[in-house]
Amino acid sequence: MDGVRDAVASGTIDVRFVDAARIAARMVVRGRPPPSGGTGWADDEIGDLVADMVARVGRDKVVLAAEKAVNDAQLSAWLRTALASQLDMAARSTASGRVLRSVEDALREDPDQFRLSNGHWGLVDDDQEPGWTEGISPLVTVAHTVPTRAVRISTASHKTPPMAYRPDIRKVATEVLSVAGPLAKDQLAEVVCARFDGGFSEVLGYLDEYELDSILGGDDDTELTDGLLAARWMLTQLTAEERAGLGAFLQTGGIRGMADQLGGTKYQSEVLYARLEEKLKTLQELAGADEAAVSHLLALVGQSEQLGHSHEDGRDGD
Amino acid sequence: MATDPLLERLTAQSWPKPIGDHPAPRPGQLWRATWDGVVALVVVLSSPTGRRIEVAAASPELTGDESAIEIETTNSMRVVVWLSISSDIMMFTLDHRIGDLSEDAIQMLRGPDHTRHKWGPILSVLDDRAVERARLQGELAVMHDAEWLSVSGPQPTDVRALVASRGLKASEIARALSTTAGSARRLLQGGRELAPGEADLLAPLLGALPSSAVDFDPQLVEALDLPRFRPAIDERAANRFSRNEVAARRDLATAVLGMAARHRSPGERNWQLLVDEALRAD
Repeated sequence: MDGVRDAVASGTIDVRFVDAARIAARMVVRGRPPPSGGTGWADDEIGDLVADMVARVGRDKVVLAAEKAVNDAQLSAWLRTALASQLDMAARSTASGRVLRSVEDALREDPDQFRLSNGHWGLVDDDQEPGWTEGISPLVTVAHTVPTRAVRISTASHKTPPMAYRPDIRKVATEVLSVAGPLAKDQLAEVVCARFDGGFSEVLGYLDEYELDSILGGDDDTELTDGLLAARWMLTQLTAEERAGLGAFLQTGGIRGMADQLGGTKYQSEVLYARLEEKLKTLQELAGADEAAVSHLLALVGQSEQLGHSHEDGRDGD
Repeated sequence: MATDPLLERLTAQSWPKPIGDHPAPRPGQLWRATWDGVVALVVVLSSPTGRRIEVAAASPELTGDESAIEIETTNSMRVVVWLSISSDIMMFTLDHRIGDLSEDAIQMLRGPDHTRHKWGPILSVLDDRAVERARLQGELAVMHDAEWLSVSGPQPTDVRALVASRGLKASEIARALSTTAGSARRLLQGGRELAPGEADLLAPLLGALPSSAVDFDPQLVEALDLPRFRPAIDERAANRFSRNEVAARRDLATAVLGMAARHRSPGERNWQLLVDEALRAD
């Protein structure tokens, strides 16, 4: 698809873009059921997926993605990420619906601190009446001031992992409710959703449900120890680059090898290393210092690399 | 001819078009900057000072820190400007103008109006926004550190010093330069300076890019840094220097110096005119 980046970057949408988007769409729908329920994705379903993605992200974002890309391969990688996110969003109900359940799970677990009254979550020792009228934006800002261990709430989770991010949700809810007073359940869910599952995270290549199933191999008879559960959860907390980083670490046996293989600037390498360090520390804490949890995570990362769900930003391609 | 239904759907609506020109940069413009395989989107914050220009990082991703503001250009491009990530980058890294900020957006850049800020501070490296911040910082650092003049560093960059430190013979230099042994000897004995393009041919042998013996006039350098010459220099780099923009710029500067020496007219030289002339001669 020679010249597609240059064409889109100049605001020209022609057959080159449509072909590139179709190829990207065919790649990301592999293994996913088509909307019609048939066996394969029809051309018009692929067309709908592409058109829906463009409508969601905005036409200016497509043009800017081309401006930001170095070559055609980078633009194609961006298209695959945007299309995969589109599929995820269509597959799940609503983000806030899922987060609503996560918030319920987390806050109900601590009745000494949180109470639910007339559809509003509040702090037990807070006498304020519900009446927050300033919208969620300032509350999202407050939510971001709370450091947490989880960076996102997995799109694949059917229920909230009890040992993983429930404490984080409670920390955020405490801070937000102390500022706002009692909040309607859906409002609090929206704030938590923005804090843990912001639109930006989708570009970082967290594993989606289908990819996770491929790696975990569906239901198996393995006894799920705390270590295994924590490792599986942590896999959902790694970005594509972090999975690639751990994969490179496994291959080369060192941090230098990891940095060399991934490229990027020193700022990016430093952040990548610091995040992996924090995440592995969290994993060990969750698993009660069980070394097997880290080994299991590394094995899962190895599997995800083999499945090709790793770092793909087209940096090396052209 | 049958039309593609998807193409028809997509083109039924108008798409924003980047301006794509190369004017003298001014505050309030959104530019694409690129160097060494790295691309950055930047918003110009002030007028150029010498070879540098102060910019802030911009991103199409709708996320930011407490300093970031979402703005729109007059050609409907929405980006987030991270005011906490700014730098005086080299002007020659500016590739083309994408758009101009609306008056409202320029006001937002000027005045700290905290009600317009949507995001909180990044307190933990685990915050995904830390990844975006690092990416933007890295991109601006590349544009800040970019240089096409002679490379400076702790190692000797003078060609004679480099040859001596590596124990190379004149015949090896001659082979690398595809020249005669006599010409190579003259170079090593100080009888002549590096010709345009020779530094780049020697770099693999010497393990470093030898400094150009030619001191470029600072005003010539500033002229060559102007964005309006970038497309022609890029083309020159692609056609004659294996996409090596440093080599293409140094060679062009040398060619312009040569032309300037031949022009004996009184008064100050118009370097931009001479660069135009040299590019036309390509």
